[in-house]
Amino acid sequence: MTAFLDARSLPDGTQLTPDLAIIGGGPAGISLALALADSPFSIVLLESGGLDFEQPIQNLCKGAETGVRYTPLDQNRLRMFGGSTANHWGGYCRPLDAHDFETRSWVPHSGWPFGIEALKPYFPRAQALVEAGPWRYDDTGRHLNGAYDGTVMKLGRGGVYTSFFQFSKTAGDTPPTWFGTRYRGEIKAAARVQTYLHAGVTALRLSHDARRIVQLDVAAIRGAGGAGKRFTIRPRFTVLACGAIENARMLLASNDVAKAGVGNQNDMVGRFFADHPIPRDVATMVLFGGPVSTLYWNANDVNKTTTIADGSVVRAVFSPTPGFLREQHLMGSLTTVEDPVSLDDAGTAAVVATAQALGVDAGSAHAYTLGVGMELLPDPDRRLTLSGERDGLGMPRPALNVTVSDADFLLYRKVLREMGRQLLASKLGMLKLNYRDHDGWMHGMTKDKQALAGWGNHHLGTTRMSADPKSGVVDADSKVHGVENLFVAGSSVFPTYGASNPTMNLLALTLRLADHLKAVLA
Amino acid sequence: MKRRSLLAGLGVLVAAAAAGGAAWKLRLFRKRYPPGPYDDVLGKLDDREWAAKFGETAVTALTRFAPADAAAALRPRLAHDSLQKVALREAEADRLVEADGWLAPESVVLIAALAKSAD
Repeated sequence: MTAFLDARSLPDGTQLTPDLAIIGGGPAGISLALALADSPFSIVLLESGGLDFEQPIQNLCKGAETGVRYTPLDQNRLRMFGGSTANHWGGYCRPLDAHDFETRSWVPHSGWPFGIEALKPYFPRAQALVEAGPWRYDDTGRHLNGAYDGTVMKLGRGGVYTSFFQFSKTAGDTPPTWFGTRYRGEIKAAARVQTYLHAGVTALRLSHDARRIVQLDVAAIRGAGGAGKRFTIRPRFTVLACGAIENARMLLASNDVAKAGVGNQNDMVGRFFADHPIPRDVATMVLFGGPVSTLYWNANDVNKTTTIADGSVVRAVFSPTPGFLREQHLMGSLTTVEDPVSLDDAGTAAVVATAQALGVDAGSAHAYTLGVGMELLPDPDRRLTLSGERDGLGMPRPALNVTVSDADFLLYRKVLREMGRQLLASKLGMLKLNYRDHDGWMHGMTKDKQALAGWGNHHLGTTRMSADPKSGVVDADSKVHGVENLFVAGSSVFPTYGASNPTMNLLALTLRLADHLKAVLA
Repeated sequence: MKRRSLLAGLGVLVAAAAAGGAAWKLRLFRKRYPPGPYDDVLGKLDDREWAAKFGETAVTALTRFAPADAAAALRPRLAHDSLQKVALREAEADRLVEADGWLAPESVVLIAALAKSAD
């Protein structure tokens, strides 16, 4: 067993020479270390935080923001062992869809260098890491039985269907899986993995020909958040696994040899940042015949989830079908039932008159607000750069420009309209679409004044994957273009994003990277 | 109060409720409308009052709404089919109108607006 070491305890000027350095002790870094734990290679896992939250270290995340209102950068990620799974993750899991990987003519800059088939072998292990139970997702309907009386809404033929989230859970404990506590023992037990806490990497040093990383400059972070003793690491290979903000920031800030930053020879680092807008109250759904099934909305659970007979924790959502998405040139979205709502007189009249016209009794009608998590169109100007300010370690602070286009909202509105059509055609109910213009949608994203509201806080893009170095930062193996021994793990490599929450998907991608690293390290 | 009086009072209440329900079923208390030029269309409605209430919203969704035009548009649709069949067919065919966000079959919106105009 190797105890965690505090970098503050290392003598000044220490030099480490592991086979592999993993920068970032979040879910990607921990999963990568675990996947390689049985390999013969020496691994150093570097975490800038400690085992618990420390505000001065968290302050290192602060940065500037422009564009639409976005969560402050020091509030949507956690600098501590286990990363943002500590208490910033809702535990929502769902695999990306096959079309998320495709090059779509109507989505500029779309397409992964491989299809979903490349990730499928890794999904079961990723699912196990997040402890989400049996792999159910869109097959959930088949696993409902007598022990659970909920039903899947019969929306009929059309472009919207019921899909399912599953939820990360710690058996018998509060969900979701907190990687820092859940896997602390396994990381400690890994003889070839040495974890350093309070170890802040301040530079990736390139060789003179800029083709290899030859050294990592590291500062032990003092309690007040400033730099303490300095040490260096000269690994054979390095993996950046500190999230889409910090991964790009690290590459851009390491600019002593390559003036534009490491891997930024084509000005791609930091571009195509994305997140999932989660506007609330996007529509009012009325069901003529009674309350919605608890599969969609369970008043007794904070995440509105339901535990079905096989123990899976699920929540039903509405998704565009792949066919509808392709036919209408849409982006991904997952529409959720949020809260019961009362109708005003005009709404009641609309419901009663429409139900009567359809020959349906609306005497037991129930109304709910809907929310959504939606995929944004890739935008190179939604971008992370460096600001003129520096943090306590002397690193340039990030500056993030966040955009949401009218097209993003209008494409999703087509999904709502189709859902409304299907509700009518199946005589189940009807929809009121609440937002028409950009201001309305932005109101939906900001009506909750909490800082974290309005966005899923899923940092994506910034080191996007592409077979062509001119349109991406990493290749299909997650290796930084032009640098032989530098890789990136995490959702920063997603070139297009899908609507699914990224954690389980980025873990599958990380496990794939682990297999590749086993080959290149050997 | 004596038990007999109480039972008698309850009996009266039950009888009144039953009579009210029957009257409602027989539409005795529903609003009566004078004859109008669109009765052939509005007669397709199960409940004209609710349609007229929705009509307040529906009419805002229709640019340059003219009752005569609406009736003319509805007559051929409803000539051989019930409003229910027409509404369902329109929902299936995505022939829908948004009235203050409420998504409804076009004919339902039209007839609601017509009901309001004739109210």
